[in-house]
Amino acid sequence: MNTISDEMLNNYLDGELSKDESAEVEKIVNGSPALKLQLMALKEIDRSLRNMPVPEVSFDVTSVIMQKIKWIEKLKKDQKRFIVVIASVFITLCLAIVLFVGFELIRNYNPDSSKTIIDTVKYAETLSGFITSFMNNTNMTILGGIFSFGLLISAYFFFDYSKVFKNLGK
Amino acid sequence: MKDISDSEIIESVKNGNHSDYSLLIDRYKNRAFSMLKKMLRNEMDAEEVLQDSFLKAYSGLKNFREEAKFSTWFYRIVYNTALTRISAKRRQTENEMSSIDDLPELKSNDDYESSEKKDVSKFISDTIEQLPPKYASVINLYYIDGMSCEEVSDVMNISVPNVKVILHRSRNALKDLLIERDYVKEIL
Repeated sequence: MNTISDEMLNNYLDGELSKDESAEVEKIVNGSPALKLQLMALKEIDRSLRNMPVPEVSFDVTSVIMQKIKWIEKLKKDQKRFIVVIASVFITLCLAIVLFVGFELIRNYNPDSSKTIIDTVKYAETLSGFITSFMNNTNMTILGGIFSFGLLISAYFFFDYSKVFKNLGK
Repeated sequence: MKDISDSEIIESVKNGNHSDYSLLIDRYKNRAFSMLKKMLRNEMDAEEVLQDSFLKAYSGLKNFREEAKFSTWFYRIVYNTALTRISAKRRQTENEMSSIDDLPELKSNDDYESSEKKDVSKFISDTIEQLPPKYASVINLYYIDGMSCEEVSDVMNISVPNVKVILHRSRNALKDLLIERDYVKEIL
């Protein structure tokens, strides 16, 4: 081996050669001023890069980011609260419908009859009859309309919150 | 504060002490900024991407499982956010960085000071500003952050041999320039 490749010199610099290979490189480098010059240059580059100054951010980036994080946390809380409110309204609405249906059933139920299979069938018939009459009722349309409107409004605010939250970091 | 490990800070933030995240910001902001400045070559862009990266890391902290070091995970976010910014600004840069066979010839900026030579270190730090983003990142992660080639490969999602090739090529390009500009005689 009379000459050494750049890769070999770099590996020597990084200490990635075996003991024998390193000794061989040193021997060849010592006998060649040109290679010695190259190795010296590489060593200087390595030293300079290791001691390269780290630039500092010109403004108080920590405060700016922490301020944004505060906002994110506040938005998260608001979002949670919003979802809880929407869920509560939805559950209350469902509960009200169930209670109303239950109330109507109890009102139409005959307490004097004994609990036989025929009574149960009659009870089921009463229930289906009530549901059918309720579904045909115009009130159902109004209720559905109000419900859909509520859902639409909720979806709009939810989307808006998500958008603000997403864009906060930008 | 220096004694607190990254894991302890992360644990504290996960437990609801959001203000402790500022310790991580203080710990990594300058080194991440150094990398971004070299990649983006624009201080304002670097500052914006730095903020984005910290916010992304904060949002993803709950999913951080500590299988990797926080620094590796965070620098991956920084690197990817910078790449997104670069490709958004200049689509062709994407192609520029997709290969490692494209180290442009480095040029010395010494023309304006022909009568007075710079200090070698200054000359080197000025010249590496010309490196393409991928090369600049490898140099920064390896030298400024003191990462191993394996860690750099983890951050940049490239193979370890590729990291070494980039490292060697960057040093060789600088070496040729130093010899060409007669800086080595000063060292000797």
